[in-house]
Amino acid sequence: MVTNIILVGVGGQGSVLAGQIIARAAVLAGVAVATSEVHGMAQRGGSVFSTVRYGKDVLSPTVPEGAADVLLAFEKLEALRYLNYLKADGLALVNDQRIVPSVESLKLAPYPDDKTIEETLRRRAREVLIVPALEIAQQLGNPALTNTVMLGALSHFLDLPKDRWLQAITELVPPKTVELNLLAFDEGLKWAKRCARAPL
Amino acid sequence: MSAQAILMSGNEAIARGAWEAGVRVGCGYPGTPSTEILEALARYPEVDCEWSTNEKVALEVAVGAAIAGGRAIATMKHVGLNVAADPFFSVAYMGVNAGLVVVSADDPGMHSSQNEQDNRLLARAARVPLLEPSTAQECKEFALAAFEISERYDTPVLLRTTTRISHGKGLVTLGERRDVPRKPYRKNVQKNVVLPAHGRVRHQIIETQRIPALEKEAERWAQIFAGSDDLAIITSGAAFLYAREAFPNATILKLGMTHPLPRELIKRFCEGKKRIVVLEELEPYLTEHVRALGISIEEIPLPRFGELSVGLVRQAVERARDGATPPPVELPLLPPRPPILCAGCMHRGIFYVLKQLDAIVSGDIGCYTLGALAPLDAMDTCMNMGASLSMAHGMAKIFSEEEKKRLVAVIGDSTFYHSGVPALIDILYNGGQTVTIILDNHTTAMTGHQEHPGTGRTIKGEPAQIIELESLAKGLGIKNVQRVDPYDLLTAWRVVDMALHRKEPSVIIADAPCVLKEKRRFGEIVSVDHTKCTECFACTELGCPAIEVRDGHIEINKLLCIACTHCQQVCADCNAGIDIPQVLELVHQKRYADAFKVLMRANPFPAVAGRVCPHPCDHEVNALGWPQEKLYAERYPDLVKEFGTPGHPAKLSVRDVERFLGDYGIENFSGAEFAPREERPERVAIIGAGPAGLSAAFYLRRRGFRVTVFEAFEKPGGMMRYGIPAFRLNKEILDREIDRLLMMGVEIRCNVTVGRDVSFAELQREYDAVVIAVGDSAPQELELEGTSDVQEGLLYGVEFLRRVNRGQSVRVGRRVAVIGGGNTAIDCARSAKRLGAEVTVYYRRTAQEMPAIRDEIDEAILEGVHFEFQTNPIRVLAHGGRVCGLELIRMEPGPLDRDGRRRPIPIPDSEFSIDVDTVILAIGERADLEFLRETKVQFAEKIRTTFTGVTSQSAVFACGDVAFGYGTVTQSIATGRRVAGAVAAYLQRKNTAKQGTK
Repeated sequence: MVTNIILVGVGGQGSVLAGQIIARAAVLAGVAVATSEVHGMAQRGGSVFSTVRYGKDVLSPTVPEGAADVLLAFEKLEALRYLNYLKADGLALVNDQRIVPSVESLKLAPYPDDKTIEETLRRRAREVLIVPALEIAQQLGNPALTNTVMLGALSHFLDLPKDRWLQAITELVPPKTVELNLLAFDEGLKWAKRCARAPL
Repeated sequence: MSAQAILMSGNEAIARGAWEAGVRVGCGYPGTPSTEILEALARYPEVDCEWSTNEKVALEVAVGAAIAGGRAIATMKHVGLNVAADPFFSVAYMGVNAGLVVVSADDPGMHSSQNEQDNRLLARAARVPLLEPSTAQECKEFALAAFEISERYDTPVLLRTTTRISHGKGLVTLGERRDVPRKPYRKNVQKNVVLPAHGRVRHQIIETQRIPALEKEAERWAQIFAGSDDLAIITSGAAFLYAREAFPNATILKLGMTHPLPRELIKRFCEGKKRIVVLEELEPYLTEHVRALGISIEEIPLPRFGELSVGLVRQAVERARDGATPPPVELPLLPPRPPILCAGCMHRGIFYVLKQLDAIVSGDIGCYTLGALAPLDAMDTCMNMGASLSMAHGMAKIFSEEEKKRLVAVIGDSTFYHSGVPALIDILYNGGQTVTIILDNHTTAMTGHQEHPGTGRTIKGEPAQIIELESLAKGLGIKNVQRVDPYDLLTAWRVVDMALHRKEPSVIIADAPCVLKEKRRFGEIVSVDHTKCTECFACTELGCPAIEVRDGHIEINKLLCIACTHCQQVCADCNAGIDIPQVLELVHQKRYADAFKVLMRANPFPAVAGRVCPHPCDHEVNALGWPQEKLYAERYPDLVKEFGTPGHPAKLSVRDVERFLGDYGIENFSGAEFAPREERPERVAIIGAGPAGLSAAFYLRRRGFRVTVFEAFEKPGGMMRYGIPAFRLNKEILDREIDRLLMMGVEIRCNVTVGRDVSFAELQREYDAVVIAVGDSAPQELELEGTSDVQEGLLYGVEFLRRVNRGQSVRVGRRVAVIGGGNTAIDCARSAKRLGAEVTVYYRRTAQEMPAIRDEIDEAILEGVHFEFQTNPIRVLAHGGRVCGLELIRMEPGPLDRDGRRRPIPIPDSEFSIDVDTVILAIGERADLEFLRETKVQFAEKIRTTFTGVTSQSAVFACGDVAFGYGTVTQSIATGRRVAGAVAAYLQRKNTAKQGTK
């Protein structure tokens, strides 16, 4: 069994680190992992996409269209853009944040409203959870914790033990922010337990 | 699983493999997706690593080290190997002493590259053995083994990865570093001096001994995954991963060494197989070689471009959309999110200046290539590392003098060291005059901030000699070498402009550190003063991600803004969005024709606007907080003297400058100068020949579209003709400016009312796009008692002005009451005054709240018009059908309404009556949109649009007051220009879509 996760967002949001944390947690849990990410030009405020796959038969680091178990989106428009990577009964975990693209881009098409986004996501996903991760992070005093809140919510749906998550976070976030990140993870997990139906 | 297994990227694993192989020297030049190999290798203290100036140098350094007896590795991206191709081909003949490995990281899909060349072909061309790992673990193993192969067969080895392999992460089992002693150095002229006589012998040895031996070696690197005989797959590299995952039951031959190929093994593998397919990314390299062995392989429809995926592979082999992939959900049209220069990036300043100067820009490779994208749109060419200078030099050999005066080469600091230097020498030596701008942000930014010869640090973080750009250029003999601050737009403009007019080569160093690396913040975050912002969107021409449009208004994203001040310098509070700083500079230099052309980029009616614009540009401090008035006075005392503001002699009147240039343009430009350079086939209909419609017509025609304007009245001009009275605007000036549009080839059909003479549906059928610009021409009606019986003495403002402007006879009584506080009200009052009446304007709010143009109110007062504020009419008094009086009531500010103003409410028992014989109602205008009833265009009081004028109906657009309601000529002109951009983008996209389906 392989679990396929795609992480999407906007360059600079920190999705690469988030992917590393998931991968590290999986390694600590003793499963094989493959990840892929894009560097260079694509990072400059552009749409970014990375993948984490773990499980016994993992080989290719990329997730084909229609095969992701989880779409972990740090931004709403990007969630929509990569929706078709999600499998038909997959889970969409979406940070409740809109990052308006450039004025030039908005000349080509408007940013869809929340209703359109949610309705479109629901046409594909078994479950769509709009996580108030940015808000929770701000309550904790630092919007940079958003991704960790999202990981906390994600952990509710995955079969990786919580202590491995905590260890991975401890190893990979800047040392001064470990405590806060662990707290953010817990908040995310609590939110998911409250609002979600069931683990995958 | 071994405790030693850790998660590593392919690149890190290659570095690890090289380290375990006892490598002593590592060289490279940064390039995605290869960069992290050398970065990881440099962290091992035993390895002497360097960022070389370019890939050729890197490989030569590595060859030297290997010949001298130490194992060496050179790393680069695929196109880097082109730069290093010369030593690569030659060292293949020479052979090595200690092991030499070259890593090429290819980029199928072009995530961050200018092409997707397949470097397997280069290995074959150079007669070099080629290894292709598929996983991070293999990256380590293959790198380690590559050194052994190199030494055993006396050859360099090419290790080729692709983006997915380099940047994919997997578990890697670690080993120890081997103790590989240095090989003794021996002089060997026959091998190491590539004289023709030596080369002939070496080539023979390669073909007769090395390649056959390697072919045997290649068998050791092949793996067979046994499976069903129904499908046999031959593959390598990343394609193996996709193949294995898509077809877990197939029999797979995975090749690790793909040059030379293990031909015998392939033949044996294929024996008795029913169905054989080759799965490979990009070039049909394996396919052709396997076919050449006489093996019949199945033709499968794999693209020869882009990355493969499990889905693509499955689809190609199964010849149908694979059942495993669910059908895609149809998504709404989404705004794209391409990479973009960071907020506050220094490059933006230079590209903005180049756009101002309408420069022809020969660009180069780096973050700054993004300067080519809209809205900066300031790059003409970008080919390969270092080509900007040499290409510009070549262009100059052909270009006209006029074109040469616009020609600039733009190159980054690291790229300049890489390969710009020889090109600069070429320009100087061969008498070129090219202007070179070095964008010196003190780092190799795009690949992730690597050191280079200008940073003063090595890859290991040790101090290094700085190769100083200014002294380098001067040392070569360039006389005009200047350093500019890219955050000072005007100075940068002056320096570049001056260099363009010189008869010798110039080097301009735009010097400021990368804001992403330095995490700079310059000062107080910029904020928008919405009471001043004209919504001209001039600041958005910078393409800064911190400048956002929310609900049609400009906002600054406080998380992104670093207060670089670019936008503050661009802002000029111009209603039309004119580049006022550049216009003033050009007028100051007495370059009136140039200044006029800059004006026309934003406003095709400068002579009109120079007379009627409410000139918000005279704000002391602009909407983004820049002290513009003070700066104008400091920079241009000459202009202040010539174009001072009456009553404020020290204050520059920008509007007077505009009027001067507008009149200059009428005298010196017929309009033919603005005719399109190329005709386009698409036809656009514009409804309404007011300022917005004609502005849209001008900018669409300028782009080459065939434009027809439909006007209901007998002459074009809209409010400019029928709203503004002659004492404010001489209609001859308007005619002259409209003539320019006719000269350009805009067709204007007057006396045609859409919805009566021609249906809207017909326009939609006949034209590729329709722009609605009908304005607000119908009067807003006021609920007023006593009006039903009135036959004489009650007039509506717009109708009254229209009659006056048409020269029709209009009679007003001796005493006239004008109701309203906008421009129409003031124009009515002043017109009525000129007809000999005693005029009073009644307005329900306070004097300060009056929306009319300040100057016009002042003029009206001077002319003797009376004003009564906070007064509202309630009843018209008539006698025998003729107005004889008006009953009014006093008002006071009430509760706040939606737009934050206090709504006036009547003061009880404050009614009073006056004697008047004419009442002019000028409380506002509205659009008559009956003709849209049957369409999908959504509207309420206004047509609903995006900020660029896109409506809810495809191919239908709207601009001016009917959509935006700004209510001034100049702001309507700005919306017309914006809608022209939206129409052009729409037609462009439609065209591209059409080509795609062909």
